[in-house]
Amino acid sequence: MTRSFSDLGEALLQDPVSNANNAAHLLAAVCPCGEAPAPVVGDAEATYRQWLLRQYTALLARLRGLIAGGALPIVQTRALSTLMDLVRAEWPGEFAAATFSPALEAVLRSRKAAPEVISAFLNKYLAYADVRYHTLKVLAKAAARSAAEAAASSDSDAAEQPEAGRQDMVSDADLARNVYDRRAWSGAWLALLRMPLPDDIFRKVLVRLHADVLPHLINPLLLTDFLTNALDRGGLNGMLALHGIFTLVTRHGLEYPRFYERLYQLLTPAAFQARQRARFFELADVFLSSGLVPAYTAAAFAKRFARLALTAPPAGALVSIAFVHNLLRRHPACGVLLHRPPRPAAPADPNPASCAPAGEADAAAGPGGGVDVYVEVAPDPALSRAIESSLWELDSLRNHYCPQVAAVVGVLDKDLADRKRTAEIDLAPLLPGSYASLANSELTRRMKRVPTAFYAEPPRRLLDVNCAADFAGWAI
Amino acid sequence: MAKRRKAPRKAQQAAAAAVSKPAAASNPFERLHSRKKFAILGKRAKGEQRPSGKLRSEAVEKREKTLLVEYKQLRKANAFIDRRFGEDDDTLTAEEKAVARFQKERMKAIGGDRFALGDGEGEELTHLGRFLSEGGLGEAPESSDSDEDGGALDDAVVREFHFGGGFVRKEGAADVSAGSTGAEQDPERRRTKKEVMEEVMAKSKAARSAKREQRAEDLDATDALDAQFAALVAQGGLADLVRPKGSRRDRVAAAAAAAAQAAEDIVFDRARRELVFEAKATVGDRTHTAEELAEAEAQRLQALEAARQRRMRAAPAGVGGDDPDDDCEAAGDKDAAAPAGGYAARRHKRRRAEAAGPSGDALEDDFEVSDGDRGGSGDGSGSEDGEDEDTDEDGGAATGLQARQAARAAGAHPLQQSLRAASAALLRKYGAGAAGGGAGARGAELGSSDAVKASLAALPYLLGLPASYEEFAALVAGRPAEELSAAMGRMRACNAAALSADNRRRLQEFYGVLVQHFALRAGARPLPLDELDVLTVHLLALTPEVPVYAATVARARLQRLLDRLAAALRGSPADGASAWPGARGLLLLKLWATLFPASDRRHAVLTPAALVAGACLALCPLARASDVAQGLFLASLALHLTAPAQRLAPEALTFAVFGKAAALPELLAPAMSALRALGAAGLPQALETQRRGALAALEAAAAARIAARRPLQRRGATSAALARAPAAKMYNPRFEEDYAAGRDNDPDRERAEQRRLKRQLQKEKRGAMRELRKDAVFIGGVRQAEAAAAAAELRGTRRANFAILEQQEADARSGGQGGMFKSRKRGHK
Repeated sequence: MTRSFSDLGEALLQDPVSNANNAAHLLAAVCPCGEAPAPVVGDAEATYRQWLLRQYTALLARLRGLIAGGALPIVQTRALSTLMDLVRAEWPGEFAAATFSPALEAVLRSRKAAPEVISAFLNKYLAYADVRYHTLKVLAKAAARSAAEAAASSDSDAAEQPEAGRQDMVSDADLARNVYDRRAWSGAWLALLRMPLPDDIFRKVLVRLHADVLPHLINPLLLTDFLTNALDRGGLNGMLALHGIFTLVTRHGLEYPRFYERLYQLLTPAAFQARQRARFFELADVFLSSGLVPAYTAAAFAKRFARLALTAPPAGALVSIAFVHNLLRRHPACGVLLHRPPRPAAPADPNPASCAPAGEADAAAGPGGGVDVYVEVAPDPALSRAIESSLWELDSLRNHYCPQVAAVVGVLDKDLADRKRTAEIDLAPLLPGSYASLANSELTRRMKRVPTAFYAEPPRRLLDVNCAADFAGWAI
Repeated sequence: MAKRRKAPRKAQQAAAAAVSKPAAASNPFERLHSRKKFAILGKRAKGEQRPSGKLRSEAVEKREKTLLVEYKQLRKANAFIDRRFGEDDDTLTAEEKAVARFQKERMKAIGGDRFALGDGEGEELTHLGRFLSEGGLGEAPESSDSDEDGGALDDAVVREFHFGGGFVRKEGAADVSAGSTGAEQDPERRRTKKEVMEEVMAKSKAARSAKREQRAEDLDATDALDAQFAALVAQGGLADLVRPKGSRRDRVAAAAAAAAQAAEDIVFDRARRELVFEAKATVGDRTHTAEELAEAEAQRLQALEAARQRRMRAAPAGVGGDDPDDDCEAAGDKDAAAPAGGYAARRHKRRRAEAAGPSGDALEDDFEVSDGDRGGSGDGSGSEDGEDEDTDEDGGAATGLQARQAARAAGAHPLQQSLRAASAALLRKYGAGAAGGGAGARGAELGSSDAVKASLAALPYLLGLPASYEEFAALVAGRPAEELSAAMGRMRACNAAALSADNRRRLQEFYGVLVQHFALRAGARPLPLDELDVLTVHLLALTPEVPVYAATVARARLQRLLDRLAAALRGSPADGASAWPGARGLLLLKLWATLFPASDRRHAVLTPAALVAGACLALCPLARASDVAQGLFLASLALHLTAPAQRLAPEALTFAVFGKAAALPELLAPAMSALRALGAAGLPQALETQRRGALAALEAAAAARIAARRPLQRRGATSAALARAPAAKMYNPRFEEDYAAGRDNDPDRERAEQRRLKRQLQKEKRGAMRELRKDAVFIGGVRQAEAAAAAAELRGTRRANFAILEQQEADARSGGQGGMFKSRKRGHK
């Protein structure tokens, strides 16, 4: 049967006019749905043409249906190649965009399209410039439509997730080769980023954005909206978005005065528990490496890191202290956080009444100076009054039970203004640290000598009376 | 100024003249010197004043000898070589040249045949330094020839004279030669015998007279001394050196009176007398070393075991003595000192038999022989060997034997009971003194009932260390804590590290076994706390003996805990297994906190242990009630670990620890807010009271800390130090030991060598160019001189010619008068 079909097809190709009836057989085989004959209008040739056009349209729909309907992967791949052949052959020398767009949309929007189809499309056809250009156009249009639909129905459509995933795979810097491509590519990306993206794809996009996308866009500043929205999500997403903004600010002239404020807000205790904390703090180090940050901002960051170190796990405390050290070394004006020279004894104020309105702050900084004026909850570093405070937290961390933490705090005892004798702490080895790595390093440490406990009166029980104070609340 | 200049110049001239007169600056330009004004490092410093003028003239001379000669030879086909004597040497005077010429002439004349003998004049053969023509040499042989017995004389002649006479050694040769040479050199010194004898006699006479004189002098001196002594005695000068008779008593009384007057002497005397009454130092018991103590303990246990065995096997009545204390002690002491064999062993055995009475050994031997299952001890050589082997069998986990022992121990015979009570009392008595036995004694104290004592006695006293955990488990399975303690105590005492070098290694294995037992018992339910307690006690005593091994064991277990935690956290929470370490892990952590010092800043065991506890507290999810309990216990444990050194453990935010932390208010803020939030939750009455109390305590502590703390100041940075002006920077000079000017200090030696060669080449090139330039100048000067000489000659010739012509003209004008016109001359005037 297939043999005869192929014979029919070959005969039709060799002599289309005399073998025109073969087409009817073939079409009947492909589209089993019979079509009622239309009333005859005009001459026979026009009728034939109309019929042929109808049949052709039905064929295209059927081929798209094969892909979207979830046929066997091999059938889907054949259907795609047939469609692409038709796109090429429809108008000799021209790209049949009208045929191509619905075909590509069928591929993209279908959840049943086999991965083989996608890969065949990417490998075989995307090398052609015209295919590439029209693909980007179709992508932009499809994304815009999805975004509009999502905006209309506020809950995100589940059907768009695979599409978004595939579009992400298409996004390749190679596509932006010439200016037309670049424009189409930028449009596709912007449309894509306007869509509501699921979390994993969102993270993927953010990770690659500043390196793979941003430099090739026609106008990178158009990404600002996307990035500020991402920043509101917080966590590593926020930090990645901040990286994008950082690139925009440093390379593309974006004005973003609240940059360090946003960074400040991202530093929370949860950051130490996150799985990607290494990347998070790596980026934070990049942002804070500038020496042009005002001293009050640097002081606020130092204070914030010190506060975090108080409650963080030992590995996090190590990172935090390293940050504090590097900040204080980069900003000598922050040295007062570690060393506040005692004020010369003020002469007795002749007018005590003038002292009264100075109020609480003065009283705090006055005799004891023990009140921490740092406002932890203030979102803006400028309002935190960190520069008036002291890093008592580090003094407490000297007694941290983890000896490595205590040792790192000892580094801060040096005069950080001495540029020759101090060096910045390299964060890279500290970032991947965890409980397990610290405990392993302690366990594999060479034993020089092992002191054993000495008791004036050796305990007679495992839970002795002597340690009852520590085990308060336990019946010993 | 002028004077000062003059003086050295004069001195110089004088010096130069003194050194060599002809070299005394014949050329005034040679006196030119380039004097160095400044000392410049790296400049040539050899010879401070270079005689530049002299050098210049030397260079000119050299050129005259070489370059000028070549120049003169230029474009000449032949050369005149002067081979005359001294013609090329300017230093020779004419006289010396003549002498040399004459010498050469003479040498040529006599130097014809080198080996031809002369015609005999002035040349003569010699023998023995004498000319052959002298008569003396030939006389002796001639005179001997004329003698009758010529043979003997011939021999003598041959010996004396042939070949110089030097080949045969002659007696009295030295005398002869001395005599002959003396005669030859100084004929005056040969004296006759009479003369010699006279001389000898004169000498002896002189010596005798000298001796006589000496004797007379000595006699005179003795007489003089005697006279002096007599005079001294007569004057009484020696009276005070001699004690007269009967004067003794007076002198003692005088001395006593003098001593009474000296106060210090009184004090001394009193002290001396008091010393008599003071207790004399007596020799005390020596402090025993650890080895000796361990040895004593092992021996005590050995004795006890022997007694036990004896009691176990002995007949029920009247055997083993009524006084088990004495018996045991005596047996123990004697066993310890028992010799191995021979007469000493026999004597020892007899003594023992006498001391123990008629019962002991015979009965023992009988019993051993009759007991079937003790085959190894049937040799009858002595009871100790058998006992040892028995002990080994006991250690070898013979549970059947233990059961039999227990059955025997359960026997209610009154004598048996009394024996046991006595042994327990003995144990207590010794346990108080000995280090190793303390635990056993304590175990006895803890369980004071008779049953416990009975079971204690049932344990063998000599226990080997178990080779594996199974062995140990079989030994202690089902035993109460007191017996466990006693067993461990005996094992440790019998195998103390001080007893044998190998014991330490075996104790390490034993330690591992104990920790394993602890871990297994800690996982049991219900928790056998009393067993864990006694295990803790023994581990605590054992850890200082094998600290590194203990740490290794603990670290291995910690690593396992950590791995387990990581695996549990990686797995999904739906697995059901809790990530918390469980009772076993918690109790092991507590055990290590007890065994090792928690106050160390970094400890091989406790630092990772604290990290593990912190990881559990921070990472493990709270899924059920038991998790909460474990978490609370871990928090307490973290406190327990950090409290001794007042360290900060953020994971277990507990109040009491951080009393001195500077950031106390900030640390406690979360806890305080949590407590405040709890207030709104509506707690039961009791909890609410506790909450209020805790909150109040926290607030009070925070307020106290705020009031106490001051802004930070860097350690060591005082205000005075800051107020001081910053010190000027000091740079230490860098000295190079082997500095050499101009040396290339490039570390790449090859490159440096290259550069040096290049420099040398440049220098040589410059020198060559300079020489060539000077040569050109010199040759230019020579050519100029030649041209000038040629011009002068030309000029001279011309002048001469003109003079002739003028002469002729004048002659012609004057009409041949030769310019001798008187009138003209006159007229001219």
